Formats: sequence, C-alpha cells, structure tokens
Amino acid sequence: MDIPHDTAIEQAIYESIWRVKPSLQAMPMTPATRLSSLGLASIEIMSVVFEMEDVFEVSIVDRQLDTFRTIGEGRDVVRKLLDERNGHVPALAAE
Amino acid sequence: MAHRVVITGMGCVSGMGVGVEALWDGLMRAQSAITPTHLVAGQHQTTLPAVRVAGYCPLNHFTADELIMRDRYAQFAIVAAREAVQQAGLGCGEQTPGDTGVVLGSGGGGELAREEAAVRMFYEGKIRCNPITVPKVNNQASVGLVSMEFGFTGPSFIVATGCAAATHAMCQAYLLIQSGVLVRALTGGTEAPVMLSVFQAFDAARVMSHTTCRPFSRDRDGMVIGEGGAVVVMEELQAARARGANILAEVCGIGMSSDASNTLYPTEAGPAQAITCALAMSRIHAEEVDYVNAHGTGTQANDRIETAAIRRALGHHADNITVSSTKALHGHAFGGAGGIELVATVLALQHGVAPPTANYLGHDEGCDLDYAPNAPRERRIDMAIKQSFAFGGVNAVLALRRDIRL
Repeated sequence: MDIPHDTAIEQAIYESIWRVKPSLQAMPMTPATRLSSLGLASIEIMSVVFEMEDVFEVSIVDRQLDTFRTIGEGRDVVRKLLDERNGHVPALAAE
Repeated sequence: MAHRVVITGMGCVSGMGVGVEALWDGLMRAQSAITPTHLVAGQHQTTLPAVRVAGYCPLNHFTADELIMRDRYAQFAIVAAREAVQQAGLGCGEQTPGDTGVVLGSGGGGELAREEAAVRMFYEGKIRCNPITVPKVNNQASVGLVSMEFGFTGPSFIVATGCAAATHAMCQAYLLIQSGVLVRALTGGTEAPVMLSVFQAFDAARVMSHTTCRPFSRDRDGMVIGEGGAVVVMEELQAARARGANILAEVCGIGMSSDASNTLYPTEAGPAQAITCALAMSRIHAEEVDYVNAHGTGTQANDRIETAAIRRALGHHADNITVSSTKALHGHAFGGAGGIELVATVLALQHGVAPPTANYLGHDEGCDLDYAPNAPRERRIDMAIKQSFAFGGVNAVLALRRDIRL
C-alpha cells in the first residue's frame, strides 16, 4: 500500500469526523484543530478513532496511541503506523 | 389508596404510516400494508412478506448527527412519544419532571445495529467494532433517549418480554401510577425487526407466513413481521383533570400470568388467567366486555388457543363480543405490537368501531368467535381488552373503559 501524503491523511481524518458528526462538515478544520473543540462526546471521539483505523487499516487503540489531541497529531499517529507497516524507519527514530 | 389511571395522549408509528391518524385510516380502509420485502445481510438474502413503516424518512424527524447514534427502533419510540406528549399537552411547565417516567417494551432493542456489526465482523472480516454500536443496540437506549427528549427524570426502564413487551410495559406503568410512585408515564413499545437474521430465525421456527397474515382464518400459515411502535401518556386521573387534560380512556385494570408449560406452544389456561385477573382488578364482569383486541398472530396454534382462552375467561359472553387482530394490516411488530394495538383499541372505544381482521378467508375449526372479518364493525364499545402473549408462555392484558365512572 502506498503511503498517502500528509494532506491525504488529514482529509481522511476530516471525513472520519464527518461520518461521526455530519454537521461538522460546515466547520472549518485544520491540522491544528483540537478534537476537544469540536463538541464531540467521548464515545464520538472513540468512534472517530475507529473510523480512522478502518480507513487506514491500522490499530491505533491496541497500540495505546489514541491520545492525540489535534488532527495534526492524529495524522502523525497514522503516518507512524503506516511507516511501520511498510517497513520504513521513521525519520525521528533514525536520528 | 389506589389511584385511577387514564390515557391522555397517544402516538404511533406503524405500517400504516407515521401518526395515530394514519393508523386509524389504515385500519378503517382494511388494506393490508404487507408486501414482499427483500432483505440482504452479507452474502445472504431472502424475500418474505413483511411490513415497513409507510413513508418513514428518518431525516424528517432527526438531524443527521442524531441519527448516527439512534437505531431505527429508538427512532420510532421518540417519534411516537412526541405525538403522544403533544396530544396530552405535556411540557407546558406545570408538571414536575420527576413525576413522569418512561416505561417501554422492546424485544430486541437495536437489532439492526447488531446485525450490521455481525456482518462487518463475520462476513467482512473486520475485527474492530464501532463503539457507537453499544448505545445503539442497548434496549434501554429507547427509554433513555425519550427521557432526554422531554427532560422527564422519573424512572425509565425497558421490559423485554418479546411479543408481550409493550403490553407488559404498560402494565408496569399502570402499577407505578396506581400505587402513587409516578403521576404519569410515557409507555408503550417499539421494535424494528425487519432484518434478515430475525426473519431467518423465525422462519426456521416455522411460524412465518410465506403468503400473508390471516388471523383466525382458515388456511392461515403464520405471522408476518412488521415494524413500528407506539407510546401513550398514562396519567393519574386527578392530575389529568387538574391540568385540564383530555381523557381518552381509563385503564381500569391489568392482568399478567405465565403458562409455566412450554417455550413455544401456548396454553389456554395462561392467557385466560391473565384476562380474568385484569377483569377482577377492574371490578368489571365478563358480561361488560364488548371488544377484545387479540394477540392474533396468524399462526395455527396461537389463534386457536387464544380463542379458547377468551372463551374460558368470558364464558358464554364470548359469543356477544367482537374480537379482532390488526396484525393482518400492520404486521407483527413484536415488542412494539402491544403499543400499536393499544392505540387501535382506544380508538375503537372512541369511535365505536371494532377494527377488522383483514385477509380473512373463512371459518376455521377452533376459531369460532366474531372476528370482524375484512371490514370494520360498528358497535358500541364501552369496555375493551388488549392482550399480548409471547414465547416462553408470558401473558399480559390491559382492560380499558371509554367513560370515566365516578
């Protein structure tokens, strides 16, 4: 599987959020947007993580990585898991 | 002191459409809503007669956000409750929220969400389950959401006795009000069982019709599953009068019993005991009953034994009453059925018309009462009985009176 660009990961996270709360399509979001600012209930945040796992076919919860606060942090978690799965060595870990 | 209990509002979602008026119009037209229905889940599919709620569009009643966490069965409860509360004139500020509870019946709860999760896991091979599945499948989601909708903080709970669930729930609501625990309750039942896994299970049990539902008729070959729900506002008589509510009927007694005999095959004695108990609690004689809204599933066993139970409870007077099953029109909504049929019963009291037993082809041995075959029956109805039975031999009966006696 090709590793998507950051913007593609972010877009998929936005779409995950919209599937859980469709009305948020009307709200501008950026990588800096905090999940806590979106008015999501705790179970809705869990559902967003579930949707992200489903789209990217990664395990976020089992790795205890579901603690990200912003969409950008969520993107980084997904990128890390995709890199691992594809045998890439993350840049930070290599330094 | 035992408080008297009345009905002051009704709401309904049935195969006839959304609303009490749609139900009554459909019953009076005697046109069955049963149609061939194609169901798919994973790699499996089937087509069987069934009833879906006519014209129901979830987005006409809920926002897209709300629908994410509301299974279809819970939607029906909320829609019906809104209509009932509006008719009762509640929510105008004069009620104490803690005086009002929510008691509903539902056999399966959010079974559609459960089936979706099963397809995902066992057909698509996904290992993780959407956490929203939990609040969607819960039986109690319906009462929780109804209590949130109106801010009623009295007790809320679900009764899950299958096909008798709504009637059992209404019995519980009645007892809570009669004993003074509650002043009023939103009560009834809801179900959305039109789905492949439910159909396959009941079909395997050989209780499903492959043609149509013909209660009490010759050539009947089983039940037809429907969906829907109904909610009524039950209220303590003096409280209802004090706020000037329009009283639709009095619930004058309830009866409950167990066959204690067989899981699938009903007995005559169990239902008869429940009817007799309801009459005794109501302090009315069998001879005063005018109309029985039957469980009437259209299975060979139920209809014959239900007829015998009515005869055992009412004696010779059974020949003077009208009995009908409206399931031939709106299907069997399991835990919602008793609610829909109670609404039909109250409307029968008000209009002086017994709803018809549709799809009736003629007399069958052991089914020898007046079933109002195929057309509504005008007659004076002062006292009526609504009865529901379920697998496991569990029985529930409500006795209703049109006019309030002093």
